[in-house]
Amino acid sequence: MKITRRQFFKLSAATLGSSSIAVMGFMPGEALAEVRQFKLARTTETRNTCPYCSVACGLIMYSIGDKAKNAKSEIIHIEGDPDHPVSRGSLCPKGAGLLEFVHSKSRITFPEYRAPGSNEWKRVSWEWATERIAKLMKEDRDQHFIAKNDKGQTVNRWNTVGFLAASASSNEAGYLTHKVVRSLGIVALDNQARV
Amino acid sequence: MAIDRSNPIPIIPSATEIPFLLLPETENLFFDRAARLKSLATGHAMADYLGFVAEIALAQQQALNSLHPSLPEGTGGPVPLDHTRLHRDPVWQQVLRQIIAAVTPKAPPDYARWMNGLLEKATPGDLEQWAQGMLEGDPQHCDIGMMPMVAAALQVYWTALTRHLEANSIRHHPDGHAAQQCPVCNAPPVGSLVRSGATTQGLRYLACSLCNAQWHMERIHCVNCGESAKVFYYGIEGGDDTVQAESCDACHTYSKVMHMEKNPAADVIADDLATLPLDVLVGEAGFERYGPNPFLMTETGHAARD
Repeated sequence: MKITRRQFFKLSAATLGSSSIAVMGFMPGEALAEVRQFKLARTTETRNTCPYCSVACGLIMYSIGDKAKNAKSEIIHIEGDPDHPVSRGSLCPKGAGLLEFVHSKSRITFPEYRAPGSNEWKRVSWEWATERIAKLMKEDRDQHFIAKNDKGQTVNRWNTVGFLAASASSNEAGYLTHKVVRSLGIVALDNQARV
Repeated sequence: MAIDRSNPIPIIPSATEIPFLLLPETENLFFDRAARLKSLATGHAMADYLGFVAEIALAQQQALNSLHPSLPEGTGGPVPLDHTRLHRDPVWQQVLRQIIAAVTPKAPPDYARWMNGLLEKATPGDLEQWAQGMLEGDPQHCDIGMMPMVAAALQVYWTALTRHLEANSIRHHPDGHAAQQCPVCNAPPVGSLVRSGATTQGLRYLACSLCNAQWHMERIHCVNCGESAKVFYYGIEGGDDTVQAESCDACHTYSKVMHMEKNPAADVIADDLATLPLDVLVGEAGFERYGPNPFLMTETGHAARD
C-alpha cells in the first residue's frame, strides 16, 4: 500500500493562506481571525466493563480534564459501548445509571469495621481488613475442615464458609478465584452471575 | 427437496453483527452534502467558500445521476475499485468538464477564467496527469487550484462504480490491507462519522475521500497507528461538539470525528470545511492531520515520516 504525500498535513494560518481555498479566490482571513477567540477543550473516552452482573456489558466513560496539566479529571457521562460484541451498546437501567453510582455521596471507598456488639463503624486500613479476614478464615477452617468422610475416603472439604465472587471478572480473575477457593476446600463458590 | 446450489442463499449479516461496509447512497449523497454545506454557510466566516463547494456538490449529483460506467479493467481484486490499479474510463473527463461548466457562473471571476483557460488548453493526456496528481496529492502534476475540481469529478466516477458492488460481499479488510485505507478503492478517509440510528447506532465509520464508501473501525482507536490508550479528543471550548479531533499522543496525529447523534445531517466533507479553526489549534498543539479533504488541498502535505 502506497502512502501518498497528501495523507498527512498540518494546517496553520500560513498553509491555509496558501491552500487551494485561497488559490481559488476565497479569503480564509476572517476564519483565521476567529481562531484567536477559541480555546481547545480536551476530553477522554475510556472503555470499561459494567460491574453489576455477569453479562459484563461494555461501557464508554467520558471524562473531562487534561491529565498532563494536573487539572482535576472528572467522569461526565457513561454509555454503552456500541462496538462491544456482547452488548452492542445496550445497557439495562442499572447500567445506564452508573454515573450516579460513580459520583454517589454514599459510595464507600475504604474498608470499615463494626465490632461484634458495637453499633459504630470504624475506618480501618486495607491491611488490617485483609489480615482479619485471613485470621478468621484460618480459625474456622482449622475447626471445621473435613479431611476424610465416614468411609475414610479423602474429601478435603471446608463446608462452613462460602465464597461469592465478582461479576465483571476477566477469565484470568475467574481462574485465579477458582484455584484459591477450591485449594482451601471451599465447596460453596458462586459468582454474582445474575441480578 | 433438492438444494439448488447454482443459486446460493445470499448471506445477510445478523442484527448483532456490525455492518463492515456502507456503500454510498447514490441517489442523494451529493445533494445532502450540498444542503449541509448551505446550512453551515449561514453566518459562517467562510460562507462564500462553503456556498461554492455546495454548488460543486450539486453539480456532482447532477453528473452522477446520468453516469453509469461499466466496470473497467483492473477491478475485482481484493480491493475491488483500487485506484492504484484500476484503468479509469475517460468518461470522468466529461464529468470534469460538466462540473466546471456548471459551477463557472458561481465561481470568483478570476478563478473561473483561469480554470476554463486551463481546461481549454488541456489534452486528454494532461487531464489524466491531473487525475494522477490529484490521487497522489502531487502539486507538480496538478495545480492545487484545480485539484478540487478534478477530485469532484473523480469522486463522481468512483461513486458511480460502487453501484456495481454489494455491501455484504465485503465483510472485512483483505489480508495485509491497512485499516485506514478504503477497502473499496484504497483511498484515504477524510475523517470519520459516529453514526446514529438503526444497526449502526454509535458506531464509527471512516468516510472515503474518493468513492464515498464508509467502513467500520472501532471507536477510541487512532486512525493512523491503531493506538487506543493514548487517544483523546480535542474540541472547541464551549463550541458546537458535533466535530472533534481524535488525537493520539503515541504518533501525534489526529483525525476528525463527526457525531451524527449531535447532528444527523453531519457530513465529513462539509463539517470538516466548516471547522478549520479546530485544525489550526490542534496543529498548533503539535499534531499532524491524517486524512485529506479534496476541497482543502495544501502545498505542504507529505508522506509518513517513517
